Amino acid sequence: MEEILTGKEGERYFLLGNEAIVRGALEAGVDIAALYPGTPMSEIGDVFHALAKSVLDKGEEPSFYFEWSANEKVSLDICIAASLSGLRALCPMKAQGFNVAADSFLDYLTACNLVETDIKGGLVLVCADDPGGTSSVNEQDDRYIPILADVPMLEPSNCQEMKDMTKKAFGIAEELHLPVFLRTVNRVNLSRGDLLFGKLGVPRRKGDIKGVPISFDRTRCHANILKKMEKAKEFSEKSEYNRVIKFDGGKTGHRRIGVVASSISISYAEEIIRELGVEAELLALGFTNPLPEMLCKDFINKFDEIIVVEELSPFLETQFLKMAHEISDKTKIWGKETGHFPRAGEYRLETVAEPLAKVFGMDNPIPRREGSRIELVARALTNCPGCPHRNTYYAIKQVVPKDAIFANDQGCYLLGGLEPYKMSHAQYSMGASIGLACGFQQATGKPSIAFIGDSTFFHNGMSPLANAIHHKYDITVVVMDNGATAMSGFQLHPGTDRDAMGREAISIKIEDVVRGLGATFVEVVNPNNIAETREVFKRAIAHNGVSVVVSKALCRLMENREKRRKGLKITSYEIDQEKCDQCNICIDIYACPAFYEVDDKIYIDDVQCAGCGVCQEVCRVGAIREKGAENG
Amino acid sequence: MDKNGADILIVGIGGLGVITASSIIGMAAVRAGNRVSSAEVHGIAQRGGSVTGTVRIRDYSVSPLVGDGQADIILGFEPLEVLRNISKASKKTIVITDITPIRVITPTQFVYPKLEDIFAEIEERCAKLYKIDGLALAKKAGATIVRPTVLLGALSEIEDFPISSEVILITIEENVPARYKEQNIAAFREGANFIRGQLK
Repeated sequence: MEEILTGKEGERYFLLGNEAIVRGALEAGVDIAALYPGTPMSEIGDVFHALAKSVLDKGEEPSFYFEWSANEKVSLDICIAASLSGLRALCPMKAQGFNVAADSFLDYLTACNLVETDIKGGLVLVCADDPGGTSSVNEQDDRYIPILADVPMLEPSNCQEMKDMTKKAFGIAEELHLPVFLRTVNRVNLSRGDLLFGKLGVPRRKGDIKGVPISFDRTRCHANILKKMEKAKEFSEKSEYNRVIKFDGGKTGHRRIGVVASSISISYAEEIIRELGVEAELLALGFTNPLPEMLCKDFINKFDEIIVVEELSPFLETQFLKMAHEISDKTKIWGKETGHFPRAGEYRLETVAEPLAKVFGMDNPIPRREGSRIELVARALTNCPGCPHRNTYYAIKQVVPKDAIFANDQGCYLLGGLEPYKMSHAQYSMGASIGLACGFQQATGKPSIAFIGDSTFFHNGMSPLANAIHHKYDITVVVMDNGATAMSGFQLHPGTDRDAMGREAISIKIEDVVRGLGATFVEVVNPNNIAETREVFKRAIAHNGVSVVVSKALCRLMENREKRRKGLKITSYEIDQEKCDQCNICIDIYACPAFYEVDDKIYIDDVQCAGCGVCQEVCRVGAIREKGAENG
Repeated sequence: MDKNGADILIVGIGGLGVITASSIIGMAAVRAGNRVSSAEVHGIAQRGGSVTGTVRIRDYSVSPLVGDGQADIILGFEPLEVLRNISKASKKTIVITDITPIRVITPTQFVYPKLEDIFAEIEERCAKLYKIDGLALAKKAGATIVRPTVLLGALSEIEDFPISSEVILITIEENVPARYKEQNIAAFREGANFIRGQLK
């Protein structure tokens, strides 16, 4: 990872897309980066964090300031202020994180665009979309945001472009006096590739702001932005990222067919066209708002038929349909509207191969193949072996009223909504659980319980809790505090005692916050002690009003990582087959994925077991013992 | 697959080292002067879910995903996961898989298929199947944690593999914690020797 900072100009390195973004920002001389982590872009923060640490360890000062902000709106406000002060700022977020930051992003443009020179420092917002939604609650297509906000958009298609476009975006932002929206997709964020490094930039380090550009003339503001976007169109026409790639595969047909693609689809289209061996042209678009109208229309004019390849919504396709209509309507556009490509789901080579082959009238070069003849059940999504969240759910499940309603939130603990715990009637966005529990309680009169994580609590959980306490809602809030933003890779948050720059930070205790807000029932418990946790939950549920239980135990993966670093042994467990009566509580009810069953006997998988030993309390007959302790 | 290129699929479950192994192969390929594109596919859990890594080595830029039937090599960290990805194989594919199953598929009442059935179907659908006891060889090398390196050693001995053993080994040495360096080198040798023994 060190090479992101120390790598030489002109040399080739193998980096993750997210790492390439950091290098690009450093080549642009970025001054400030701030973000709240979220897959698929968390590594951008991990790298800034690690680089800051390695520079500090050498007794030097990092060239940038980086922080793990409490949420995306906070990170964007910090970056906007840096930009207004003349510094270069990078603000990455995942698609759903943008929803939190949208408040500031969509509003600040009109507040700051009266004076042409207001934005002196380039502001680049990286928005990482997640087609397929593997790590997100939906497949939000954020390409419509730049249209809504009237800002330029760049879309990298590979690791090299991740770096180059990030660097370029700062310059574009400063020339246009507009923030640049760098829209990425999971497949590029989380792909690795070889890329050529450029020269590191020189940061400005200190900014300043003069004058107060407050105006209430919104119409003038809006007109001013639109004027800037006219200039952005000229940039787009000339951009090296909007280019025509020619293929001379030799095979020609009677029809002239062109292909248009953006983002990761460029690489799929390129590969399939090469496989088809046809003579064709590919319009690869990287500067996608505003589109280069002249370039696109010239391209449309050349062909009888055009195939548009893009994941999710027909963003390019509808604009191409409009442009084709404006020209003459003689060019046929194939895409989602014609049913050739799906709107839902992440694309793969196979998704693109079939329709391309069909339109070109050739054999499919990558036909789908059968899977295994044995029926393979997917490995179930569940909390890791040794996860303290499992223990919280296991304890509360034993004492909760049968008619209780559960509102869950965004973090590892949301897996408690799945089999066999099934403790979620609803979950969707950061911090929503507490408001949901209040709403369920009001709407149904049934006992309502909210589950929220430590990082999520600081992200967006405090205002709904204030609301719940103020209105005397009779709900239980369980804060599952595992000491980190675990799901996205154990990042720091306001509850931890260090910040991203390695400095001592004020560790805010959730129980103090909750008491400060006025909750009258607040207890902290270690969920790895199931009996005690059960008792706390009994009292919490019986309490009239908002009761808060902070269920606090370090993420087992972090704990074990620390143990390995210190050379400490991690205990492993096994089942005493003489004592085990195959009641299956450990598998069916407790459901730790370290257990498995063969021929009606239960075993603990050595590789999977995290050594927490909590299953010893779960087992009714005391059949689980430390490995090697033959006599129990 | 030839001296200039290969499509490699690395499969397993979270926590077994799939991503680390993919990354080492990719770094080694770049060090050897190739263009490389590599992806990781996994769910939201940190551990226990199916994980797939790809490494595509070419002399030009290429997309990161491996299509059906395109894999030249499948490197399996868990046998069932190899079978799960069998649509990526063709009769030209070489499969190297660790033989130790991770049977856990909680909380569904799923019965892990018989290992011999898994191996039989893999064998039918590929050119050559190597079954390697990564765990035992890693223990022999001094630490179970170096199991992924056993598989990398095995991979390096595949005929026509575009990256040399030396380059892969140097890349491993530079990218593993210093305290496990010796065990990693030993594990690499164990994996390589295993394949050499099979080729005889």
